Amino acid sequence: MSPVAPRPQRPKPGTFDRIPPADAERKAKADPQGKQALFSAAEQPPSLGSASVDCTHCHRRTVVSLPQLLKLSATGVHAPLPKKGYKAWLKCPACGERSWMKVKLGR
Amino acid sequence: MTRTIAVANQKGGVAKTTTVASIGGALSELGQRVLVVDLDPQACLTYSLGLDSEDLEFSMHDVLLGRVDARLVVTDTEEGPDLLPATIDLAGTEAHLLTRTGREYVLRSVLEDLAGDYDFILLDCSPSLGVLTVNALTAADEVLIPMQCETLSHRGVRQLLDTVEDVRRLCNRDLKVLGVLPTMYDSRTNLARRTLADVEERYGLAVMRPPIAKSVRPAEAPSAGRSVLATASGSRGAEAYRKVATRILEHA
Repeated sequence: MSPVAPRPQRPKPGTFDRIPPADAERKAKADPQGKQALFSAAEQPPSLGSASVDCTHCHRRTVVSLPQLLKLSATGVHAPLPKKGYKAWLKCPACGERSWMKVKLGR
Repeated sequence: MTRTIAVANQKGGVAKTTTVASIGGALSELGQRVLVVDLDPQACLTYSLGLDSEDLEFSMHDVLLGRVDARLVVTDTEEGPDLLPATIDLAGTEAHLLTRTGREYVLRSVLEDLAGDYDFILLDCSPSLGVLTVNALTAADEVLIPMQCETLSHRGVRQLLDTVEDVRRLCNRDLKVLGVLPTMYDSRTNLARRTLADVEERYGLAVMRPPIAKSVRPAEAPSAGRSVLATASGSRGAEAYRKVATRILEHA
């Protein structure tokens, strides 16, 4: 009996067996300090003392502090319309345009 | 309406720059107003179109940092397209942008101001995944993926498609994949044929045809500061790029 375990068979050269299929689940974790760091839109969700605002104009999410949110709200309007969730008419901190925003407070 | 096309592949050496210079030139020959944008700190596109980046007063570095208006940096080229040139300082731009909120959208804002002046804007991405490549994918309507027909390039396509998914999810939901452009294609090898067939089948991507055949002509062109369309106008490579440009034009 051989003490050495048999090696797993290597794929043949010139084949694509080691490339995962298109529908394979992506293994990459959403590490904010990994690839996700390239995207400001993927930054951490708002924590206590901050809020996220989603802009319907530029489709960006910006995380702002509560004092920044108060400053934005001072020149804005809060209303239940026109779009579900998008209740605040504010100046977007990302694109600078006034549009309907979804505001979510951190917990 | 302007079509902005990012020519991207995280894998290096797959002929991204040659593709931008040649398709840009071919679209110009077809009467289109074209802007090509060098987003690679190595400034290969800038060099390939006859400019020395050391001589430039302003470049994409200054534009992306908001120091100077893009219109003041745009330069015309003998090839036909206008060029937004790069210098090695773009490497610093990347680091500077990385801490900025809304960093993905800087290029999009720059190009929005220029869009009315051009029918096509072609973005030459760097051979890595960084803020500048994400900016290009965020600013683009479509992405064209040059691919050398071998295993590591095949793997690069998969990685780029993952990034395209991230960009769609986070900052550009309308981004479309125009297709894969086989470059340095050697139809005599089994590997080239199988790579192309597998990419087409596995990802359901359109493959732009004709493939750009392996040849020394496109590689010789940058030393003359022109694309292969000018230096070897009747070569197979030049003709293939013209046909691909026509397909892109018809694809609208």
